Amino acid sequence: MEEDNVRSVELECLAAIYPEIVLGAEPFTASLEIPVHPTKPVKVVFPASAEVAPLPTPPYSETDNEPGQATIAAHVESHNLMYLPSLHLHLTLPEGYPAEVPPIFRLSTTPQWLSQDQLDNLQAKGATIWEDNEHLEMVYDYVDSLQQAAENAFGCGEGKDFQIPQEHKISLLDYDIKAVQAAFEKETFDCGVCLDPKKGTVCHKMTGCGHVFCVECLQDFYNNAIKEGDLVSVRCLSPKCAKEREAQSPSKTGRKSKTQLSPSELLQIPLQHEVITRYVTLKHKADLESDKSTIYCPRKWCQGAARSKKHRKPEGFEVVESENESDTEETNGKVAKFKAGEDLLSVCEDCSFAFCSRCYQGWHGEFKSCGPRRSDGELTEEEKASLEYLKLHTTPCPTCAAPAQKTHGCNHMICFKCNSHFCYLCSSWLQPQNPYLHYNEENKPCFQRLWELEGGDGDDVGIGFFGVGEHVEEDDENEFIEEDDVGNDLANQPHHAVVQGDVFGLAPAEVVEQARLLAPREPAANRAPIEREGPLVLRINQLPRVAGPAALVAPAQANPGAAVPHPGRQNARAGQEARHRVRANNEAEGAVLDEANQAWVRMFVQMALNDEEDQLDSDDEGDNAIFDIHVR
Amino acid sequence: MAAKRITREYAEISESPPSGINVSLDNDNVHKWNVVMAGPEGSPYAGGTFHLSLTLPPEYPFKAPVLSFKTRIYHPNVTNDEKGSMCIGILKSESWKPSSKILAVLLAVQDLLREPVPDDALEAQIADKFKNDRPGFERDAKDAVKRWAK
Repeated sequence: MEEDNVRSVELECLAAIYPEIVLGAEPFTASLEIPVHPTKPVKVVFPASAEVAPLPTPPYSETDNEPGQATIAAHVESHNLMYLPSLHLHLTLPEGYPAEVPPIFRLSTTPQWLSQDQLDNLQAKGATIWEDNEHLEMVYDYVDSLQQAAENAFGCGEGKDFQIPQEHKISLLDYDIKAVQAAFEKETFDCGVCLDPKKGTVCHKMTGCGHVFCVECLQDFYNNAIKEGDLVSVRCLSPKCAKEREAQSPSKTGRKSKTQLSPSELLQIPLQHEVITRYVTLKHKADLESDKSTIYCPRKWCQGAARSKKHRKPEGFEVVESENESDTEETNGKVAKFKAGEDLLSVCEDCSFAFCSRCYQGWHGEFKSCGPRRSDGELTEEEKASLEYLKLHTTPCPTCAAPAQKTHGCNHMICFKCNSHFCYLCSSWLQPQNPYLHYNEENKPCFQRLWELEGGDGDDVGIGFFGVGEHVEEDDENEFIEEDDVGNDLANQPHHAVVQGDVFGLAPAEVVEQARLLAPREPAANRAPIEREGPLVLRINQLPRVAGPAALVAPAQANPGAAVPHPGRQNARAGQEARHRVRANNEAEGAVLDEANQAWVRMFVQMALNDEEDQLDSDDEGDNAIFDIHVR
Repeated sequence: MAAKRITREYAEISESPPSGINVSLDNDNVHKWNVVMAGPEGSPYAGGTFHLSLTLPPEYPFKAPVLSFKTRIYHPNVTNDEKGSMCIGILKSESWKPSSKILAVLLAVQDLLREPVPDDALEAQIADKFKNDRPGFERDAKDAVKRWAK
């Protein structure tokens, strides 16, 4: 009975000292959590669970001499832990305690970060103390010794890294973070902004630098800064803090963003989601704006940024680069245009509008030749003029979009790149078997217009034909002028001359050049009508030699040619039904065709219908690679 | 919050004023302080008494205070006119931090009197003189003190 009393008195004492003690359901049992908060952070390594070495516990184990230990630790990440999960003590004061029987101590940790050996050693210590105390009450002494041992983490990590099985890593780290937070919340801080002392619960510790401010001040300041768009201010509020840290790590990208707070930290403070969203949006916008190659959505109501979907490189420079690339490719006249088009596709990240990053129109596919954006000033005046010229005086191939300029002849074109047959007026694809059907079908826009723009399309023939079906009406007007102007002098030359459409450096003088090249040709003896060209050749040879670099002079110089009498158009306008109809709206100009010339035309049309007209030109082959005069 | 913090800072400075600096409120307005600063010993401004006006914006401490010399002063970093505007790093908006304090601002002004910063000058002529003709600068500064700051 007295022993019972001794045991109850001791438990009451313990309860007074450790209010957190929990008395067990069984009589004379109790359990106590002993926090493990070492005075110095413990450096812990978590070796892979497969090769868990015996835990090094310097005071008790003999693993110190094993050389392999250190090497394992060397390549395993280590963490400094401030707090470890508490040590759970379950004690039973058995019958006969304290005089005859030692108390029963059972120790455990959750998770089991202390090895069973260590726990056994600590438990054994209880019996030793009982003996040392000469069989008197000793539970307090034991608990006290455990607490002292906990201050240096039971000797773990002294001298060498403390190894804990990998499987406990997450729970231990988690425990540490929570314990640190709990301790932080118990502290009191003087907020540097409002200068009031604040409890840790209403304070936030900066992740980067560790400065502490009260949540209220941080919210006020950051909300205001984000509202005003002052993104640079979203950093630690301590004077010189950001600067000092920038100085410490000068090797960083050199951007201030390093000292700016992350959205996740703003969330921790916490700021409202809308504010953080605005912060992120503004930052993104600032990033896009500082990137010169950013393309913006052409929709007026959107104007979001776009990223080309087909970036080959992740950098934002890609768009600019690919544009330059495609330009040079076009200049070289290589087939690469097909590929170049791919890089022009941009999709707005806001409204998902797909558009061309060069012409800022809705996405037109890869094969359309388009003009560049106007306002960005990236193109030189010369380039702009060239593009303008291309727009006015070339027709794109319906297959590959290569621009073609007709120097002379009929409107049946063959692409110099892909050999497609197409109509120069409306860019329609024509059947290779019977390309002229296109001009012989009534109710079609190009009905009877095979010979429009006969003299070629270019600056030297006035405002050119646009080459689009719906413009036919007004373009007739243009052609009217053109015929009136200088069209005559180059008329009646063989058709199918397709000039390669360079984007830049197009030389209108090529028209003249072409004519000159045609001159030495000798007509086949049995094709009398071709001789009709004789005078024409002579006439062209009289033209001033203006071909060459002085390209732009050519249009003006070409005009005098019109003054040369044109034998083919002096009289005899009657009887040429087809030609007459095609030219019906041009009759006013008074151009008249003589009989012989008409005969030639008739024959030519006949040959053309038989698809033999190329024979007329066969001797021109190879004279000038630029002019692809063959129908194949 | 502004008024509370300003009151607290004012109390701190009034209780233990830094040597050579005295502050008072302008018409009991906590947002407007009158500062009286003695020219620091060892500087050409020694013996002078300079009155400054410190205006704390309503957004203080989120926005920096505005400080100007009411007493005219011959100094590279203070405009040599009636406004007496000045340029010190801590008050620039990009370096102002909400936890910067008025005391630090006043001490920075004192430092500026002791050691002008000619590379960040408002008065280029005075800065040139400071750099190239130090005795001439000190003579002019002392003359100015006699004229304006006695």
